Amino acid sequence: MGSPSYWREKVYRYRLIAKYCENCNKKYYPPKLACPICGNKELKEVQLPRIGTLITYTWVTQPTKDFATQAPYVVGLIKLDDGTLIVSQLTDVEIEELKDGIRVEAVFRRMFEEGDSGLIYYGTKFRPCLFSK
Amino acid sequence: MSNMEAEVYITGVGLTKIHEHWNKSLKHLAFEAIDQCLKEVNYKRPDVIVVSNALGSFLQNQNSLSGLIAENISLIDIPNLKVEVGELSGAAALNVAYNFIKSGMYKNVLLVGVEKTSDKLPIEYNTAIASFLDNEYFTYNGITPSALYAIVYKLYMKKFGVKQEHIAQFASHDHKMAMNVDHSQYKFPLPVEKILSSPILADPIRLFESYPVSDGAAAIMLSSKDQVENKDYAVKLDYVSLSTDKSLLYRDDFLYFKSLHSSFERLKLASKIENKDIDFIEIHDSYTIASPLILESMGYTERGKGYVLLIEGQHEKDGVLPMNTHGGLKARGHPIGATAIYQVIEATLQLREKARNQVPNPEIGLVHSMSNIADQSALILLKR
Amino acid sequence: MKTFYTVSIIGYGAYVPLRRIKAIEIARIWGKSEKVLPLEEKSVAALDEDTATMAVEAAYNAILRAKIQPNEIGAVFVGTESKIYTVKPTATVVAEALGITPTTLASDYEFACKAGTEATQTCIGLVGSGMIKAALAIGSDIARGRPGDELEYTAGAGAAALILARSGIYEDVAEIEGTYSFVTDTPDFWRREGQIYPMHYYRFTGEPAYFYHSREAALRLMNELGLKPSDFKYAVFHQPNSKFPQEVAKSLGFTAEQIKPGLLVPLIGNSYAASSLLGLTATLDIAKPGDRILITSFGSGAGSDAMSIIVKDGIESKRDLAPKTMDYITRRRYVDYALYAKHRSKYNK
Repeated sequence: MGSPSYWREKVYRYRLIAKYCENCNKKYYPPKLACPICGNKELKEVQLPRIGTLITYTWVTQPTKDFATQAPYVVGLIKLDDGTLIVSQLTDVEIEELKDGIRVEAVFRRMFEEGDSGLIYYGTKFRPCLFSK
Repeated sequence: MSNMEAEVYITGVGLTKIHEHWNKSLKHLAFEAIDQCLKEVNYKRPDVIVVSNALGSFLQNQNSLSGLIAENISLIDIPNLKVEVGELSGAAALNVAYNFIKSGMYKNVLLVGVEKTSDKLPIEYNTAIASFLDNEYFTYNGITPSALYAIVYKLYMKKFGVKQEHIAQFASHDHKMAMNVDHSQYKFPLPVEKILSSPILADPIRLFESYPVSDGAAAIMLSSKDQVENKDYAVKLDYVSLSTDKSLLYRDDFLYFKSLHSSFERLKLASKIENKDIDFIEIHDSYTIASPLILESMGYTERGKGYVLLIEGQHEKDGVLPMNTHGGLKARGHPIGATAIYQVIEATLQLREKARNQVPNPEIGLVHSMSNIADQSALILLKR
Repeated sequence: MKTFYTVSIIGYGAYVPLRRIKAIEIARIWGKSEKVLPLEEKSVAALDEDTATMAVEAAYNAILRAKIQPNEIGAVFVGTESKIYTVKPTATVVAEALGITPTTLASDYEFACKAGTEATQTCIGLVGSGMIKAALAIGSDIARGRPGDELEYTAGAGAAALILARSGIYEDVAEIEGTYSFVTDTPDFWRREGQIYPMHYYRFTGEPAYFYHSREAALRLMNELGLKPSDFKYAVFHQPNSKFPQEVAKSLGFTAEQIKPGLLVPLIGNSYAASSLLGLTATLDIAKPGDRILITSFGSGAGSDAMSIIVKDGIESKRDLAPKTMDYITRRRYVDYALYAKHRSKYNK
C-alpha cells in the first residue's frame, strides 16, 4: 500500500472520522469529497459514535494477501448509534458468541503489516461491548 | 440510446471453452476467439477493436492490452481500446461498441472479452477480485466481495423467511443447463445437498454457490445494418443500457436493485415490450443470492419470492422464463472481463436457434450483467 | 523529588487483553512440575493487538476519566520494551489515534519494566515546570519469553496510562507528593539488537537487582518525605512473579493487606512496563480520598522509581467513567498452547 496513501487516510481510519454535510444533515463514511445529495463541497470532519448494534455478520474464509494469516475472521454490518451504517471487521469474539443485535464498540487494532521490513497498518475494528451499554 | 439512426447487428461470434487454460496466455485466448468470430464474417476487417478485461493489469501485470491483442492478430492501422468496469467490463465494452455503430462513426466493431485468472495462486486471485471494492475502506479492512454478498444473503433470508436450499437451487439449475454445453466450465450435475455441504466461503455462502475461477475469451463482430451479409445469422442488438446505483451502504434497501428496476422500465418503454415478451434471460448470478434479487428487482416475481419460478420449473428451456440456458456464471463460468460477451453470444445462439438447450421459437432475449452488488447494472436486449 | 507546581493524576486507564493461558498448560508442553509454577495464568495479546493498540485503549480510558480534550495534552510518552518499530516511536501512532497530534511531544521510553514510570516522571516534570498543561504517560508491553524458558510463564501483556496535570485545574484523582529514582548499571536482564528474546541472569535478578533497587528507592523516598509504611494505605510494587512483590513489601514493613489490590501478577502475568502502573490503576479503582499510595517500579538494567501519591476527591466521580482494571481482568477467555502460539506468532521467527 505504501506510506502516502496510508498517511492520507489515517485520521479517518484511526479515529472513525466521517465527513458531514450541514445542509443535508448527513454523515458519510467512507468520507466523501462532496455531498451526493446537494453537491456541497465544504464537508466537515465529524466524529462517528464509537458504539453501535450489529445488524448481521459473516466470516471470511478466502482472504486477500494482506489478511492471509488471519482467516477466518468476522465481518459485520453495524448500525452506529447515530444511524450511520458501517461494514467492519469484528475482533475479540468467537463465532459462537455472535448474534444479530448485540452491542458492539470500536477499538483501535493492528490490521496487517507489509512483510518483515514494511509498514504496520492500523485501523478500527469492532468488538462486543465490554460492559453493557 | 435507441433513438439514433443506425441499427446494430451481431454478425459474427467466437469463443473459447472456459476452464484452466494452462498453455494459453491472454493473447492466445483472445486470438482464438477472434479468429473464430472473424471466420464467421469471412475475415471482414473491423474498423476498431474494443477489448474487455478486468484483471490483466493485476494478474498478468499487463496494461495496453488492446494494442497487444490487435497487433497479435495483425489488426494494425485501426484504433483499439480497453474497457474496464469490474465484472461489468464486457457489457460496458459492448455499450461502447454499440454506440460506435449507432452514432455512425464505425460500421464494423470487433469486441473481445478475455480473462486469465489461473496464472496466479488463489490468494492472489482473491486479492485481484477484491480490487472491485473501495480499496481504502473495504479491502483495507479485509472486507471481500463475498463478505458483502454474505451479509445481503443473511438479510434476505431473515427478512423474507426464505430457506437457503431454495436459493442454492439456482446453482443446481445452472449446472443442469451447462451439462450439454460445449464451452461450459462444468458439465456435471450439482444437487442442492452437495451445495449445502460444500465448505463455507463466507457464511452462509457455500463454495458451490459462488462462481468458479475461469479463463476464457469471447468475441463478437458488431455491424451496421448495411454490413449484414448473412441475414439468418445476424441478430439485432436492440437496446443497451448501463446504470449506476448508490454504493450499498447508502441505499434505502439493500435487497432491491432500484437502478436495475428503473433501467428495465426504461428499456421496456423504449422497446415497447413487457416482461412477458422476453423469451429468455441470461443473468449475472455471481452468487446464488444474486438471482432472486435480480428477478425481484426486474418485477418477474414478488419481493421475497424470487425462487418461485425456479421451483415451478419455469426457468427450463420450455418454461415461461428460460434462464441461464448455457449454465450461467456458476456452471458456464465467469471469466470476469469476458463474461458479458459470453452471455450475449449465448443469447445470439438461442436467437439463431443453434443452442443446445434451445428455447422454442425465441424472438427476444435479454442479457443482464452487473458489478458487485448491482453497483453497476447492464441490460442488453437482442431481437431475432 | 518535588516539582515547582504541584502535579496531580487527573485521569488513569487500564487495558488487559481478552485471552489467558494457564501456567499449567505451558507446563504441560514443556514438562515442568505444577508445584513450582510462578503464577496461575497470564494474559495473551491477540494477533491484531500490539503495544500501540493496547496503549491507545488504556490512554482512551484515561482521557475519559480525565475529562480533558485530547488536544490539551502536550506530551505522550510510551514506556515499552516491545516498541512497534525499532525506529519510529510508538507514541506517534498512539498520539495520532487519540487526536493529540500535532502540538505535542512524543517519544518511546525504554527501561525494561520501569519504562512506564520513567515516562510518568518526565510527565510530572514537564507539567510541574509549567511547560505544558497536561501530559500522558503510558506503560505498554507484550512481553517476550523464549518458549520453554522460565520467563515464558510470566511474560504477559497489558497497558496502563496516567494523565498528569497541574493540581487544582482539572478535578484531581491523586496528588503527587514526591518521587525518587534510583538507578545503577546492573546487568540482570538485557536484549541485544536483532535478538528476539532477552537474556536474564536467573537468581542474580533477585537480590542485587529487583530487591536492592526497589528497597532503596522506596526507603529513600519515605525518608525524604518523613513517612513510614504505616502512613500508606496501599503499596504497589513491580510484579515479575507472585513471590517478589510480596517479599519486598514484607521486607520494607508493608502488610499483605496493603499490597493486595495492586497484586495482579497471579492473574495476568508480568506486563513489564505496564506492571506497576496496572497495580496502581487497580488500586485507584478502590481507593478513597485521603488514601496515601506508594508505587515502586523496577526495571532491569537496573533501577526503580518510587512515587507517593495522595488520593483526592475527584476519584469518586471519575472512577466509573471508564472500565476498571478488574473489569478487564475478569473478562477472559482461555486458550491452549497452540492458539497462544498462533497469536504470538509475530514474535516467533
